[in-house]
Amino acid sequence: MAEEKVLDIENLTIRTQRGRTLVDGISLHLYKGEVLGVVGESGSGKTLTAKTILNLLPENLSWEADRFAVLGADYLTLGKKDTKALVGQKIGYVPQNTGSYLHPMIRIKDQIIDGYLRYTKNNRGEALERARELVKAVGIRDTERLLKSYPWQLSGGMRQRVNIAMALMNQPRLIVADEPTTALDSTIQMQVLDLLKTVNDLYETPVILVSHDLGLVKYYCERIVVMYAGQIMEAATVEQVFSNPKHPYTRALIKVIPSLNIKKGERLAEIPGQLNAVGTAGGGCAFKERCSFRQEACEYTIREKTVADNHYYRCNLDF
Amino acid sequence: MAVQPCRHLLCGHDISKAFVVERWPIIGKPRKQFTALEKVSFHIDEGETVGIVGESGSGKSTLGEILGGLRTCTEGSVHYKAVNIRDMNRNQFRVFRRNVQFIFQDPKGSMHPYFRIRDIIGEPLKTLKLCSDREEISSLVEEMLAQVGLDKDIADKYPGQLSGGQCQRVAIARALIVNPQIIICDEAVSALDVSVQAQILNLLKDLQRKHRMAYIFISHDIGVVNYMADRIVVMNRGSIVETGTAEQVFITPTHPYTKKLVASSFVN
Amino acid sequence: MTAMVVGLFLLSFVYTPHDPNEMQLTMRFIGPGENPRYILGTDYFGRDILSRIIYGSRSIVLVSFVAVTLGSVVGSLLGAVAGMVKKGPLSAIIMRAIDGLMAFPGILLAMMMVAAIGKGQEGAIVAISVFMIPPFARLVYSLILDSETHLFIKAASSYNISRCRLLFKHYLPLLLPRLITLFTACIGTAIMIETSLSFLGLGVQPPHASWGLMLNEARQHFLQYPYLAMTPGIAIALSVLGFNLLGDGLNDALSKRRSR
Repeated sequence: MAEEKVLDIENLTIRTQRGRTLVDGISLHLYKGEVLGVVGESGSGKTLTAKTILNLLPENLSWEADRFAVLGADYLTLGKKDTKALVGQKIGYVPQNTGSYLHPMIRIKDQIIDGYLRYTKNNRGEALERARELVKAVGIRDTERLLKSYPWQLSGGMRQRVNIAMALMNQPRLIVADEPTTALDSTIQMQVLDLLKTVNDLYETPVILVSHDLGLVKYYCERIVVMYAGQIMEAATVEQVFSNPKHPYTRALIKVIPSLNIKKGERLAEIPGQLNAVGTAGGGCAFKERCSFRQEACEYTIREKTVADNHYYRCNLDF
Repeated sequence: MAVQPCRHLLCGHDISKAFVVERWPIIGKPRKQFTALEKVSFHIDEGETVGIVGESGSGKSTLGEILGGLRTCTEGSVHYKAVNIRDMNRNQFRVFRRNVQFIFQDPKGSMHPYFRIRDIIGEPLKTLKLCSDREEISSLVEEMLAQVGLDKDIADKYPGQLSGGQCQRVAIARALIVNPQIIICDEAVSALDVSVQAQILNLLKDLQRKHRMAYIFISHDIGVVNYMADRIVVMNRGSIVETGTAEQVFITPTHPYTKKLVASSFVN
Repeated sequence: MTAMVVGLFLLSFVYTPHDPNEMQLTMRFIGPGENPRYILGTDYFGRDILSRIIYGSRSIVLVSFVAVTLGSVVGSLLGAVAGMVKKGPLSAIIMRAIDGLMAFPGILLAMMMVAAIGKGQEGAIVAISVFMIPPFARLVYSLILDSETHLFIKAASSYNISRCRLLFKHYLPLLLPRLITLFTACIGTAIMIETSLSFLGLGVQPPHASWGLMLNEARQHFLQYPYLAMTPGIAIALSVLGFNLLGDGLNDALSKRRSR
């Protein structure tokens, strides 16, 4: 059974006005019901990619792609208004900064139903009912009190739950979560991510989870895409990536995280050099400057190698 | 209540800290307070690394600031080499300040954006009255840059021109230049990318081995604290809930909060 | 635009072709442009208006710059002290005193000072500088309190920085752009006050030239010879405008540099 392709992006490039390349020809696919993790450090381009899907790319950046289909709609031909409507109705967004998408002077109940009322013909009462259900579903017990509050009265974890409830109001067919738990404590992190996972399980809503935290992605995602300085280094399922990482960057990234198993006196594996300033990849592989396996060919080209179904990596060498 | 004479290098006895949230209008007396720390005791000896773990609001950063003399505590005392810092005269306090340095979470934010790197690193020498000769300061700055793995020509740049990792190295150089006995690292690697984090942690460890410094390592990241610290202190809402070695606390936690904390972190 | 107006100003503060006080009674009341030797005409006493304008600019510049400089330095120091010692009663005392000073309308304050010190340039300078103290004090005070939250200020305390050093080396560079902008704006205000004082006869005394004085003298003959009032009036307006534009331009330029 062919699974529905929710996201079909081919060769996406994002550039600044001055011509610097921030995202260099990446391709992404997402199928219905999947949870895809996009992992990368700062400057990897992961957030920009997410913003392109959400039609929230800053004005001074431009993008182009060979194919860019979201939920069947072609962004390349869709007009501005239609894209906005598509995003508003069918895509849910959970941002990193829990408070920045909530208006500080409007009560939660009015904010939650706002987007919903714009795209459906229901009246206010029905909207509020739905809001109440969702707020309860995201794990908030005192629903009435929450609905009457203002954002500043809530903790980060609660705000994020509100964000998720808001994202769910329109029954989205895709959820884009950009570092949704980075600003939260670890105990709350788990709860919020469990919530997203539950939504994914129950409604088969695909989720794109953008994060810098490999550990997090390992727990919650089915497939991973590893990005560095605007390029994709490796893409695989979670099991594949952790049992058989191929790309030097992926391998280094896994080793670099201090785990609890580390022995005393053992040195943490490092990746030498600094993070590439965004947009200086200049032909070839973005990781070439810090790669211990670098060769001359890496300066100009990268070969895409397929390891297995769903597992490919872009490197000139064979591992 | 008699306090035992403190044999540790730096210690805090029953430290409590309350922040005033609201005051009565005319009288000015505090009406609502927020207790950040509740009777916390802490000690550290030469060459040790003690890790303080907790989530936001646990009071770990406040404790670090109080131990380092950047904040005063509402109750309790901090002793450096058995002397209460509140009782110290100017010279003693200066020695204390020299020996207890900080590295903060925001690398760029912890330096003045209009200062050159060489002035940033050299400033403590001047303010702590350790050195006033320009040439000597200059050569010490260069030496520090080398020790933290930075090129000499970084000295004439401004913080805005450096990356986060480089800035944190500068912060380390600045703390190191006065040859302190203790460095308090308050979420020193939390704002850095994972690939750079390892570099800085390794650097800190190398420097510790070389200079025999003690570290108070404050973080919310269990993996990082486990790597850096010999002894761990777990905090929650202003109190210490558990202490022990890394194995004891993380592999076999006893307190329910610690268990919850370990379970919710993603380190395997 | 700003550069042009400012340039014009700085040029005009080069000094005079004629002796401005020389009276040529035979040449009285010539309109501007009528006689090539006296481009802007002459006044009641036959004195060349252009020269008087140029000479008047001297006193305007002198008084306003000196006064604003004095006021800004004193005000900034007071504000700085208040900001640095926030915990004690001292800062409250200083700031309330400043508030009290601000309560007086400028001209009234100036007149009181002049009444105490006497007429003439010195009086004008002192009066205006006192008037200039509050804006600077308040700006410096609030900026210091604002900047206190910066991490590098906290970090500096960790290596035992003295309050003095903190003020001059750390805070000052942060405050400078806003202070300079305020300074130029205050020059404009100072010019206005000085002119008003001279108009009332409390500033520069005759026979010296001053734009305000010229306006006053022009009053008597205004209906017959309007140009007598127009020339100093335009001069005043242009200079105030020029400094305000300079201030705006500086503000823009400096904030662009910071947000880069």
